[in-house]
Amino acid sequence: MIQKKICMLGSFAVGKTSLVRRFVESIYTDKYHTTVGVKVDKKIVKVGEQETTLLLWDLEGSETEHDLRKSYLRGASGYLLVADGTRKDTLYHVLSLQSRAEETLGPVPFLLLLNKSDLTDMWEIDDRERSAIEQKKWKIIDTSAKTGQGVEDAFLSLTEKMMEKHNG
Amino acid sequence: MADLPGPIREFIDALTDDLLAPAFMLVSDDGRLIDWGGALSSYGISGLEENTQVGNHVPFLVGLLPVDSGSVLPKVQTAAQVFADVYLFRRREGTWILLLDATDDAKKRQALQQRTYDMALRAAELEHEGRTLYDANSRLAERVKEQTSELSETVVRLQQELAEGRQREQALIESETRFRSLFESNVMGIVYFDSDGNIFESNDAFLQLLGYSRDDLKQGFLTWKQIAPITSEVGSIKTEKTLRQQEFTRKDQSRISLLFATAPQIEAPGNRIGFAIDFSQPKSTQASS
Repeated sequence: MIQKKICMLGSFAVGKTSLVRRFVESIYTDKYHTTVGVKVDKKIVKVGEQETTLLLWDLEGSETEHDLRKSYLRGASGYLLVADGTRKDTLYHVLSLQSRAEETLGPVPFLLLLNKSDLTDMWEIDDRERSAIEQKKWKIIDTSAKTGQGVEDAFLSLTEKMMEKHNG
Repeated sequence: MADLPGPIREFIDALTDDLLAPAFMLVSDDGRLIDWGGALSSYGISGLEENTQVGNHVPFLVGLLPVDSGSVLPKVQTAAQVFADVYLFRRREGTWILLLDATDDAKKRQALQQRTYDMALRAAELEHEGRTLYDANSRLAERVKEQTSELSETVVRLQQELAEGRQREQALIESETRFRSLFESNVMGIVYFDSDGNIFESNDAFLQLLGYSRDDLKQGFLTWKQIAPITSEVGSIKTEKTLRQQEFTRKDQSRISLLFATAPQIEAPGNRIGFAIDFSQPKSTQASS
C-alpha cells in the first residue's frame, strides 16, 4: 500500500493535534495539551479506487521558520498549514513556515486551514486578509476540530493532490 | 573520542543503558530491516522481521530513509507517554537508527511549555477582551457624544421656546392690561357670558345701561333671557361679530336699544364677550356716569 507522510505546521494551540484526533479518532476535547516534539498517527484513506496510508506528523507549535526542524519535514509528501482564525498573528506565522517547508520539501501540495471556525464571534481574520492569501493561489479551508467542519475535506483534498502528483 | 580508561568507558556504557535505554535498527537503502536490538520494546516497537519494510512497523521512519549522512529527530513520541531522540546515520552497511530515551526531558519540557502557552493564550484572551471593551467603550463614547449633541440642541430649542413663551406671556399681560383699562374705563358696556346665556362678569357701564347692580350680577339675576327676551336665543348672537343694533330689556322692564357686538373669549373659546354702546347718549356722559 502507498504510504504518504503529511506534516501539520502552525503556531502553538492552533488546533493541529485536535484536527488529527478528529480525523483519526473522531474525538475532540476542549482541554488544551501542548505537543512536545512530534507524534505520528496513521490513517488509511481511499481516494478514488486507491487506498493510501497517511502518516500524520503532528509537530509541536512553531512560531518562526527557525523553530521548524527540517529533519521533521524530511520525506513529507504534503503539509497542512494551520492557523487559528481567532488569533490573527498565527496566520502571519504560517506564512513564514510555508517558506521554510517549501525550501526543504520543494513544491509539494499543501493547504491552509483556518481552524476554530465555530468561534465566529471571536474571528479576527477578515475578507481582506483571506483574499490576499487566495491571490497566492493557496487553497483555504475553514475547519473546526470541535464540530468536525471541513476536517475530512481538508485531509482528503490534500491526499488527492498528493496522489495526483504521485501518479504523475 | 576522548582517551578514557576502561572502567570509565564501562561506567558510561552502564549509565547509558540505565538512563537512555538505547535501541537500534539497521536498515538497507531500500528500507528493509537488516538488524535490530536494545530496548526496542520500551519504545513500543515489536514484531520486527528481517527483510521486511521497516516503515510497516515503525511508521515515523516512512519517507526518512535512506539518509544522506546524518539526521536527528528530537522527542519523537513512539508510544503513549514515551519519547525518544532518534538519531539516523549512514554507514557502508546501511542506515543505523539509534533511539535514546527522552521521556523525562520531554515531560519536563511539556510541563514548562504548557504553563508558558496557557499564559500566552490567557494573555491573548485578555487582549481580545480588552479590544472588545475598548470597541464597546468607543461606541458608548460616540453614542454619548451623539446624545449630548441631541441634548444640547434640545436645550437650545427649549430655551428658545421658553423665551418665545415668555414673550407671548408678556404680550398677553400687556394685552390684558390694556383690555382691563378699557373694561374699567366704562366707556362702553362690556359683558362676559357663556353658551347657555349665563352672564358671569360685566363692567359697571353694562350694569348701568341695563339698570342692574353688582349684587344682582353676583346673585345671578342678570341673565341673557332677562335682558334680551326678544332675541333670547344666545346662539343667534354667538357668532355675530359685526356691530349691530340690539334691543335689551332693562331691570325696570323698559327697553333700550344698544349697539352690540360679540367676540369669542380667547382663553375660554366656549364663552363670549359682548360690547355694548348706547348711541343715544354722548360717550362723555357714559364715561362720566
